[in-house]
Formats: sequence, structure tokens, C-alpha cells
Amino acid sequence: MKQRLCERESEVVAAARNDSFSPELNRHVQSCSSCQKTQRVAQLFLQNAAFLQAQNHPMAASHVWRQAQRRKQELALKRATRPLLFMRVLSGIYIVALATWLLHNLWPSLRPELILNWSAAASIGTVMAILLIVAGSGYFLYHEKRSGNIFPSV
Amino acid sequence: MQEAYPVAEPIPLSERGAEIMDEQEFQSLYNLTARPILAYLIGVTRRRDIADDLLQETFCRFLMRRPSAMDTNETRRYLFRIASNLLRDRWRRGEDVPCPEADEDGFDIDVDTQIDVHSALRLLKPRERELLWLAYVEGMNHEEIAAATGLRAISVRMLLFRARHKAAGLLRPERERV
Repeated sequence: MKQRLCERESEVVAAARNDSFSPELNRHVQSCSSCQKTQRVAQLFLQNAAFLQAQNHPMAASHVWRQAQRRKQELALKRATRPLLFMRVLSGIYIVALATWLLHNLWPSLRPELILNWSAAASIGTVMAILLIVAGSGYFLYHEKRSGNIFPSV
Repeated sequence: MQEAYPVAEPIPLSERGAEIMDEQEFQSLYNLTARPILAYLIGVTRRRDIADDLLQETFCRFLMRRPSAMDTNETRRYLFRIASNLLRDRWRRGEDVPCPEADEDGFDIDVDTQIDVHSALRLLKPRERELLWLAYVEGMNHEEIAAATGLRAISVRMLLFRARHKAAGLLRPERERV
């Protein structure tokens, strides 16, 4: 015979949790094999739960609190340094690009025209540096504004 | 009438919707929920050391995520959900090595049948213990268990049915093992 869940299983579970079986429910359990199993298993699990709760004490709340606060600070620090990492990467790209450009222009020869090229190169490099610094600073300020209080109060 | 299993008292949370919880509020919440969650974790993993780590991780994640305003039951369910997710992560990583005879400090003997409950429950799989615990100890319905465990409600119904059947077989009086 295929076992099926009884529709009154939830009632049996609730009664087991509150230790409050009504006479009517008791009569039903005695006549329903499914609910008998439910009652048996539920009561033993509840008994085991009570036993484990009595035998085992959790660590102090203050310890968990401190651990959580440490993690929050580490996460905040990581977020705060992310724009700096971004600028570092940008700086690296800029240096490589500028070096490549300079080598490309300086390599052919050292001619008097080079002085003019050098001034032009320096001007372009300066403009690029300013643009990248502005872009990096803007990103940093945007990120700071978006994250609000970066360092939460402890 | 003495309650067999104490019902959780209201958890006093900040009026600002519990997004910012101070230490005192956390202490109140912890005092009400830590012990049941620790028992749950020990009951499923059968290892106190792992349960301690998972308990700490559960509450740390709760504080880090800053959940929006929740009532008592919702907070408790949420904590059990985090704990269940951590258990599932462990199982996925294959870290499910039971500690042999770990719980030797006192035996949990059923007075009616003198069955060693610990030994009987150890024969269940961790997933089975998890589902039965959430259903019978925490009183969750199938949808709530599904939300906590990541399973579908229809899968929960089937798995729970099988787990209950298996547990009932293990806990029959004729299978005394003291």
C-alpha cells in the first residue's frame, strides 16, 4: 500500500511542538499511520533539539559582534582603495603610451626639429596627464559619494 | 501547561527598520536565536566545531547584509536560511566528514523506548536531518523550507516524506541500540 501524507500532518507537528494534543487529534493519530510516524519523528527531533540546546552553549555575542565589525572595516577599506587601484592602472597605461609615442618620434634621428617635436610631445603628454588625473579624481569622488560613509562607526 | 519547545519572544529591533543594529540590539537577537541555530547546526553536521564556525559565520553575514525591517519570525527564518546556505556550501565543497563518536558527552535516550536517539539520527543523511529539523523543530512549511534550502517546494515535499519514513524506521522500538 502506497503511503501518503495526511492532510493533518501540520496540525500534528504544531501539537508536537507545543506538546498540546487535543483528544480529537489523539484519536486521529491513533487511527492514521502517517500521522503516527510524523508524531514519533517530530517528538524525537524535538527531544533531540532540547537536549542539544541544553548541552551546548554558543560563543559570546560580543565575540561575534567584534568579528563582524572587523569584516565591515576590511570591506570598507577594500572599497575605498579600489579607486586608487584604478588610478594606478591608468598611470601605468599612460606611461606606456607616452613612452611608446616618444620612442616612435625620437628614434628616427636627433635633429633640430626634434626640439619642436619634443615641446609638442611634452605638451601633449601634459594634457594627457591632466585629463587622466581629472578622470581618476572624478571617479574617486563619484565612488566616495555613492558609498556614503565609507568607514562605519564601531 | 509547560511548553515542550519554547516559542521565540519578540525581538526588539531598531525603529529605523533594523538596517542599523547596535550592539545591544544584536545581543538581544543573539540571546534569542543563537542557541536554537547552534543546536540545528550540531544536529545536522553532528560536529560541534563546525557548528561553532557556521554559527559565527551566520551572524556575521546577517550583520554584514543589514537586512531591512523584519519581524521576529522573519528574522529567525532569515538566520536559518543563512545557516542552511552555509551548510549547502559545505556539502558542495565536499566538506562533510562526520566526526566519529563526537557527541559522547551525555546520551540522549528516549525514555519510552530507550533508543539512543543520537545513534539513530546519525544514520540519517545530513540533508535528511536538515529537512526534518526545519519541518518538525522549527515548524516551517514546505515553501519556507524550500526558501531556506534552495530546493523546490515539490522536491521538499518528496524528500521530507522519504526522510520521515526513513527516520520512523530507524526509531522503531524494536531497533534498540543503547
